[in-house]
Amino acid sequence: MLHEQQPAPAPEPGTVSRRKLIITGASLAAAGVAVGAVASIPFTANENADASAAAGDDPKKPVMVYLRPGGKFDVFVGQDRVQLTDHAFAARLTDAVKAL
Amino acid sequence: MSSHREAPEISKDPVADSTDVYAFVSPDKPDTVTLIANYVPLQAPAGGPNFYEFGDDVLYEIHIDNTGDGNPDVTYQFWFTTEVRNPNTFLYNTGPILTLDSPNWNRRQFYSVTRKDARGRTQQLAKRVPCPPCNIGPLSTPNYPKLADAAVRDLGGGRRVFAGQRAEGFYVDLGAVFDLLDPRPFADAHEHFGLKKFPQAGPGVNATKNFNVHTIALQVPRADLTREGYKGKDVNDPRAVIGVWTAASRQRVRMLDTELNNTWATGPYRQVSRLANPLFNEVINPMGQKDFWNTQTPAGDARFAKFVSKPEVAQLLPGLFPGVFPNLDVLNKSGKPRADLLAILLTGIPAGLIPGFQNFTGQTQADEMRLNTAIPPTGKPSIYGLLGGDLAGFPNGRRVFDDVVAIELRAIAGATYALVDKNYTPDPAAAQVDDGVTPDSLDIPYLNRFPYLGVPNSGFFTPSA
Repeated sequence: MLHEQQPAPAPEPGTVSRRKLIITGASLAAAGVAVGAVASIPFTANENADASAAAGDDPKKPVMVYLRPGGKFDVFVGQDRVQLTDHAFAARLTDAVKAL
Repeated sequence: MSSHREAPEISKDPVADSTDVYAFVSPDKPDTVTLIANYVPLQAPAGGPNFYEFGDDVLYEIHIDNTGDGNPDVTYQFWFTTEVRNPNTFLYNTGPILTLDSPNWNRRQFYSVTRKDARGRTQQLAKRVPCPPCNIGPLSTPNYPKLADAAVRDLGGGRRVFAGQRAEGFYVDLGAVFDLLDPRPFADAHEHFGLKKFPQAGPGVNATKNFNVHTIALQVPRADLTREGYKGKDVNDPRAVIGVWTAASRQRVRMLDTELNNTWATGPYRQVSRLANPLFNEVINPMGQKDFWNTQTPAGDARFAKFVSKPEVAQLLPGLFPGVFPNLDVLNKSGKPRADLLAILLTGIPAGLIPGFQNFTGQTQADEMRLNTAIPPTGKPSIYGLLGGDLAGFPNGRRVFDDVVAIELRAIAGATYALVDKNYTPDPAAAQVDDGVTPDSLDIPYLNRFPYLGVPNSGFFTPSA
């Protein structure tokens, strides 16, 4: 069951907005976390510059990020998917979820 | 049903639910092949105000394998776009719809057609082709056949396309079949679990009568589909045989976005439905495999061969009809694989088993609707296809009127096993078992021209399906 969080204050730089989180399962480790249209995702330019730009610029081409166990991310945009690993960002997401 | 609501997940997503596939050499244009893919099952004709339509968020595809490897060599893709003229009315139409560009038609749908080949080359065959509206009634769609005819688009070179509502052409006695496999004509022989509820045999009842469906129909020259563009008449030439299946795919992520007050999808398309041989996923695959099967391509179907080799229905028949299928019972207990069904459903029938016929595509086991395009249409077709001595019918492709339920039921009951084991004698009942429903049960006739499926049932005149 999808559960969308209530609006919260804007995040500090480098953190994740709670209201952007959608928990897709009771167990983060087992089910992962999906993050919708997060402009503050710390992509590096060489990882997916197009996706980062699309997230901020084009509401018709939103970015969806899915966190898998092990700090792995699936990033969906348009008809594409890219995969990356970012343990630090995964840890911040995990912390944010734990604080809910 | 053929493949209506055949798997748990797709039964909840009718817009993407592949229900029937037809592939046949066009009887009125035998230099062409007609491919038909149906979706959106069991449409009650009066289902307004939001009448049925294709999904703008679904990728619809018809695949053709002409090399026998279970992978597509030619793919036709269909993309739909819905346009609303006036969002400030709840009405589908604000007056009679007399033409496809009628200003009275508030919710129109258009589509594009793209052809892809095995090398990845794409060619857009058409864009912004209008679908006809649904058949609402004498006030809204007073001349429906004319509207539908206008929606047949000539693509040039003998190619035609149509996408829109049609009358359901598939017929089956669902109520009996899924009441513990109790076909009414054989009800007196059914074991009935000791209940003896309906001991009298009776005629079948067509459960899909009066329903509509959404059809994508494409007619193209044979050479567009065959390997090396083969268009000869040699039935034994392997290039004459094609394997067809349809699919529907959705993007991997869907978001119900309350901030944008919108629903959007993103990511690569992932297959959620596929179909070739009727009833394959419905009654061959077990429930635990159905959803997975829908996500796969035919190239990997060897993993499902064990369900064909020992089909559950064949195991059930001797018990449900005591004393009626003794030879099938012996065959079941022998543990011998059903080589007849493996050929019919997964590899095609090799030459030498049926005089003058083959639709073999090689050793790769793949559920495909195999059509030998060198076999011309039959002047006097049999609804029982190959079992009726009609080489142009199912399982050599499938025509809109073929009685696929009877054909498959009889094959599973052992009628075709003698093709691969001359020592086997089919039970007499194997050639007769049937759900008792034929095309005579349909009020709306098939067309003798493209798109062959009949004019959809009118909502006004069919208020209760």
